[in-house]
Amino acid sequence: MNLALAVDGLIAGYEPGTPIVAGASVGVAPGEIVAVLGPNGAGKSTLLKAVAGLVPIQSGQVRLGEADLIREPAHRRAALGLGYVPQLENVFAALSVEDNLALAADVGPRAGRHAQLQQALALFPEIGLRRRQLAGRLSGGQRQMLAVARALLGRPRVLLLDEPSAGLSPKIVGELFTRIRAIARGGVGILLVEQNVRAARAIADRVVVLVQGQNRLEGTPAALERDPELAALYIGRATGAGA
Amino acid sequence: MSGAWTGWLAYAASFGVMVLIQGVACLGLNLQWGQTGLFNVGVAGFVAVGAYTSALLTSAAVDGRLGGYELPLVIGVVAAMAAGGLVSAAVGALTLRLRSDYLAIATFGIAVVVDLVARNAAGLTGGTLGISFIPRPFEALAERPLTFALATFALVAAVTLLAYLLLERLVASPWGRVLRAIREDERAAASLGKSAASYRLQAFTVGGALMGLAGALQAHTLGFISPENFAAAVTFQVWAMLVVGGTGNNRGVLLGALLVSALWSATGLATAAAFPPEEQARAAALRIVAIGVLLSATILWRPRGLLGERTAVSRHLDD
Amino acid sequence: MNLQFLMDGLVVGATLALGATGVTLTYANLRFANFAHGEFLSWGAYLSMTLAGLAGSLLGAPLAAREPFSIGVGLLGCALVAAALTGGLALLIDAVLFRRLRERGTAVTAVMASFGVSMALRALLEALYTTRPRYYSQELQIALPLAEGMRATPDQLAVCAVTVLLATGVTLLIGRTAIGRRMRAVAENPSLAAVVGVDVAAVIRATWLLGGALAAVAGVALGLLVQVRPSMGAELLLPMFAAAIVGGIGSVPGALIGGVIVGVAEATTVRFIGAEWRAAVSFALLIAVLLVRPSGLFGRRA
Repeated sequence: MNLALAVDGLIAGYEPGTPIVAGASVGVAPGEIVAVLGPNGAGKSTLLKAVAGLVPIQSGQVRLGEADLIREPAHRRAALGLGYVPQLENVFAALSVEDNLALAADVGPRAGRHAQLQQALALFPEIGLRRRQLAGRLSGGQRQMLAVARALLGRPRVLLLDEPSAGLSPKIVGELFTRIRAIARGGVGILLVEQNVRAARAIADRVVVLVQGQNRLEGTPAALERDPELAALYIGRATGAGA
Repeated sequence: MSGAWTGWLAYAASFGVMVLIQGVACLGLNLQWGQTGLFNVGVAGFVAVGAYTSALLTSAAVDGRLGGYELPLVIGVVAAMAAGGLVSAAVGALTLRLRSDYLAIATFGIAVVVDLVARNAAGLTGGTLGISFIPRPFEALAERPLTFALATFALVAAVTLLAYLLLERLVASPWGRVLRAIREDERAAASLGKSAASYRLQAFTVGGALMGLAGALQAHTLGFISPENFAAAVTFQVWAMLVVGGTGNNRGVLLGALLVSALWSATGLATAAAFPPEEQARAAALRIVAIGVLLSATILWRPRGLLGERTAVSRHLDD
Repeated sequence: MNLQFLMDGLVVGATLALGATGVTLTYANLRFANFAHGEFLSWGAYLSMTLAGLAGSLLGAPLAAREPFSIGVGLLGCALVAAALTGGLALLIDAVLFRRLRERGTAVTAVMASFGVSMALRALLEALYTTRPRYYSQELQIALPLAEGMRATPDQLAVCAVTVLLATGVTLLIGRTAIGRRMRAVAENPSLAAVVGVDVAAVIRATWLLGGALAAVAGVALGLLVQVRPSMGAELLLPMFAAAIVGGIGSVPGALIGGVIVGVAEATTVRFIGAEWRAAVSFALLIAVLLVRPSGLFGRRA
């Protein structure tokens, strides 16, 4: 199968001696939604950051389609078609909504920018209504929508989303997930971090469970939900053993 | 003893006094920057505050100028430390809660204002002429230059040793460990909350008091002071001593003081020999360039200096 | 009352505004207070003078002045080249020193390094040109009467006009163009900017180039109005910091307005207290802002 994103044996962390991601592998096919699960401190967010180019990679492979991303700086990865939406501080609060979008639109080729913007705004009409507002004045849900819309303007082949549902009401999460599914249907591969299997089941085609920076379990959300090992991991977190 | 020998020895003693005085100021800077991570760009200003305070309190009265109380030297020195500490505490209280660069800018401003007062408030500081006839501790020996120089050196060395030993004890104490914890880890600092700010302020104040002490020592060994003694180049030299010797290490500070002073004197002798008199000013400027390059190169290639900090691993100095 | 001091303050404020813009941009995008910024003013002024001298000897005659100004198009052209060269100097220093400190994550030491750079740059000027003051032109200018008994020389008016032009240009650049948008993004959150596709290193280069060039123009203006000396920029460092902090550090309009505020406050002090206390004004303003509103007029957080 031709993967949109292939991460293989990734070892990454802020300091060379102490990797946080310790050999994790994950593949995302075009149009597929893959959720990364795991207890706190499993290295889920760091995995996304390393793929996006924000955390140094010690070894392993990261390929976006045919392109090898390992030596590319973060902004080049974005230009090559990797979109990343961090969990916190994912919009430029001091910039207008329009400027937030334009930043991403500037990166791609000039032709088709306008059409791209219209397409993104069609998917997120609530953002289009607030184009002149400062992004810092948006609600949590609107910020998340803006961040995803902005990532779309970079014409990504793969979108990395770090806990997109965190802090949002169930209703907003539902709306957001509907758009994410629509984006995936357009052929974009999506790799997202989620806190628990229930949230993942609501959106993911496939789930990868990380523990201590390594793959532990993999499968469909429905299959994993019944897995006693997964349940044990989450109980482990409560007692502090899973950190 | 031959005349050449005594002359050489007297020169060495006065060079040693200069090294030690700058070393004391540098010990203060090390407490502020090396131990606590507080940035002071106005070292010369704090040294000047100490020098003028002690000079005013201990010298004889002069018409048209404040001061001249002829108080004992010890009182002058203690007051100099208090003044240096007080000014530091005021600047610190104002800026330590803000981003670190504000402290740097404010200390820079203090140095500018102190220089301005020294130059213009003639009724307080003697203006550009400065203050002369400041009492020296071994005035009675002044007719025997070698004995005078050696006695002065011994006294300054004793004071420096005292300051060094006290600082070493402070650094090893729980208080010193808290300072390093605050410097190393913003989260640790945040969890200490208000008391972190108070620890920073204490360290900054004690550092400022040491700079005041250095100023007083300078006033009472030279016997005269003027604004020229406290130019921005002094701040620069003290910083170079700290960075070259080894940030965070008090022995490194004293080594740095010796090396930078030696380099300064050696380049001075070299340029004096190599350049004609009319080019001396340019040559002097080149010496400053040399120290600037030395400072930058050390920051780049040997960020811990010659003798780095021994105990804790310093994150902000790490490669 | 004679309001001449207000006019003088505006002229000084114009120079400060250009310098403070560079300070505030460096601070916002690179996150450190650059103590070498004053030296960019001095270098810009000296480069301009040297270029004018070179051009004069190539042409066989000094560059002609264009009435009523004391300088002509020639020096203006030299100033533009000097601005580009000063921007290049800033880039060079960044490549040799500051960039390496950033890459190591030792940005704290950048402030100290900039202090060393400032000493070295200034001393280098002293070694090259000596401390003797120089002038772009020896011509005396007659001040033109303006409103309310205020007078200004044509040169002073020209400096004000150039400042307004540049201030407008920079404000539009930051507020309306793609590179300005990227600068604002990097100022707020460099790593988010990078993942959105902004080349942060390129934005930092643009920041140095712009800050250096504006400083050089300020230096030429200062040299034209007062004199050219190696310490001219260093003496303006505290007023520039004060202007940037009064306006709210990181804000370009703030730096522009802060510059004018500091300039007028200085002139007022000179008029009513005495010229020797001019330099204390910046410190007083600085302390006042830190006491009352550390974020300044337009700043978001301190």
